[in-house]
Amino acid sequence: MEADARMRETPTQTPERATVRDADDATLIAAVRSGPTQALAELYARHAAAVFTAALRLLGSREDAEDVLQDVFVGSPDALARYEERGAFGAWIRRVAVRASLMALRRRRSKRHEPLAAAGDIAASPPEPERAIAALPDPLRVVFVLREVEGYSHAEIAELLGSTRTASELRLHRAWKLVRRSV
Amino acid sequence: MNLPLSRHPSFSRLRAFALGEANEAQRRRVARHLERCVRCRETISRVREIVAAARELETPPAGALERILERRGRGERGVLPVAPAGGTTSVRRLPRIAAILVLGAGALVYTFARTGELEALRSELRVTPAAPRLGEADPRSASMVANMLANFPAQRSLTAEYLRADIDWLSAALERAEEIGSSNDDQPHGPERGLTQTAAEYAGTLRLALGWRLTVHGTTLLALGDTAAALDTLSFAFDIGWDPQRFRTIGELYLARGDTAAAAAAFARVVVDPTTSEAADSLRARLGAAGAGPAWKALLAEARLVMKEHVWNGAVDRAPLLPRLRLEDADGRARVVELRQGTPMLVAFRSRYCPGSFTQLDEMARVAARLEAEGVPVIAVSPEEPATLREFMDAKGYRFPVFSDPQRDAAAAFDTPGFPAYFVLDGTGRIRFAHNDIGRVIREVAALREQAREQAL
Repeated sequence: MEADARMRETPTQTPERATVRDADDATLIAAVRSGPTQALAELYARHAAAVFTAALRLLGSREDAEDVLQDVFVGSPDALARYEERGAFGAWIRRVAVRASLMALRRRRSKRHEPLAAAGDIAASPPEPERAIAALPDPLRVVFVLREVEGYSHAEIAELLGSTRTASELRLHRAWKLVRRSV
Repeated sequence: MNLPLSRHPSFSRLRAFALGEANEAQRRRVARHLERCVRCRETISRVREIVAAARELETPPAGALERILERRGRGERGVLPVAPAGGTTSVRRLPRIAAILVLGAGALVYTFARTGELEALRSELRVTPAAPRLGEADPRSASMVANMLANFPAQRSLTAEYLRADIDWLSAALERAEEIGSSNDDQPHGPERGLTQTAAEYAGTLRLALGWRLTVHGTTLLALGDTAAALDTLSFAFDIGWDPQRFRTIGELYLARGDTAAAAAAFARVVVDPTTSEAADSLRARLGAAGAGPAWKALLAEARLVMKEHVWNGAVDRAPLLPRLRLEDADGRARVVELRQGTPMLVAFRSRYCPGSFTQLDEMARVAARLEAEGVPVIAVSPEEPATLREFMDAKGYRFPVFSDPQRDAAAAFDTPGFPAYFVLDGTGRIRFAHNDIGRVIREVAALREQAREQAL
């Protein structure tokens, strides 16, 4: 996984980590299932950035993204019981992060309403791409991030969101329009 | 419509090319285009930049790991949503050879599906087999093909495919219209552009036509049962123009889905519009609590602002080539019509032989009656001879004043691009709104009167 490669360069190391840092994901997963915190910390060191980035892009808020990051890693030892070791662990935990983020988004939306047509002028000054994406209305941002960042197909997005392929394609188109206009 | 846009690949094509998702034929076509198009090259590098920035990994907040371990230490066990095991199915993450195999297999399946669908079409519709391919060769026929296919439930997926192709093309056309509108050049951009029409006016006409087509597609998708896509298409069209009928449709859809807050936002736009305000009470009643109180008031205020913005965005400012028109009335008498009336005025060019104009005549009669009741002069100008005009008006029971312009002098003075053409003049006789949609006139007259009131204060 490219995410793993980039994470190994991150210099946040705890002394405990030295013992498990050379283990591969499979060994680590076995260790996490049996409980020791240093294995969880190592898993975190390898995959937290990918999980946090997915949540941040989907939710557009650092605060909400940290909530998802915490939930994913607090829950991961138990969720790993359902992990079947087919495919890469990095991809699996990212999909968990995506689903957790979508749940967070639904909770957030039930608190404040955001109509689909609310997409207006994003900002007066041209923002960075990240900010332009964060400023998209939720329904457009979710499709944009799932497609362009997480690499989901339109059919997968439609299934995840309980929507249709055409709707997903349209949203992607509208999202791009707004992002390009504001960057 | 004949738009000068088809030479650039659509944004979707450029995006697919930029992200390596285009198939070989598309890739070659776009690459050839890029050799001579700076604008599309820029779009491609912009897409790549944006996606690269979005994929850039972010560092998690400091202390997050400690907080996680603390939560676990307290015995907290999170419940996570289930994600299916296995790798991602994205083509982008497959190795290159696998991707080529997948694409090849996909193309085969696609071809067979197409052939099957064409066979079905041949027997079921008696449509020439060339029809669907017509849509591929010329994106402008995609909507025609889609509308034809929409009548046949068995062709639902093919219909959606053609609609998508056309929506895609419409978006590209809209972008181009925006560019034309913001450019200051005086070069003509297409055969429909009138000689005295500015680039911004021409762009406005384009947007109107494109927005209307998006609305039609949204309605078709609705009929196909694809509510989510219909809502998306309609709210895409939301940004393009002001159309209370469209807002009403969207409001009804939201209401049917139980989303009263979104329905209220859409209905507020119907209520503030002078052409549909009579529906206010019934719509509010259906919204329940969402149709009352300060929140509802705020929605109305916002809707009024948006409407005002839309109306004035469509404004122009130019003088007709003649200050007064010499015409014959329907009884053959020579008449001189002053264009400077001291109040707003509607000059409508119509012809019963033009289908677009004919279908708007009933609406035109309603609008004329309402404007005259408000003291706004209305004149309708037609290329027909007075005798045939009188006969037609009497047969239809129309009461609005109509004049004959067989030499087309008046049409030339207004530089009309065709029929129908509506010109809303201000009190000084200048053209402030010029378009072919009778539905806009009442709002525009109201906006002009509001402006006159504000200036008088």
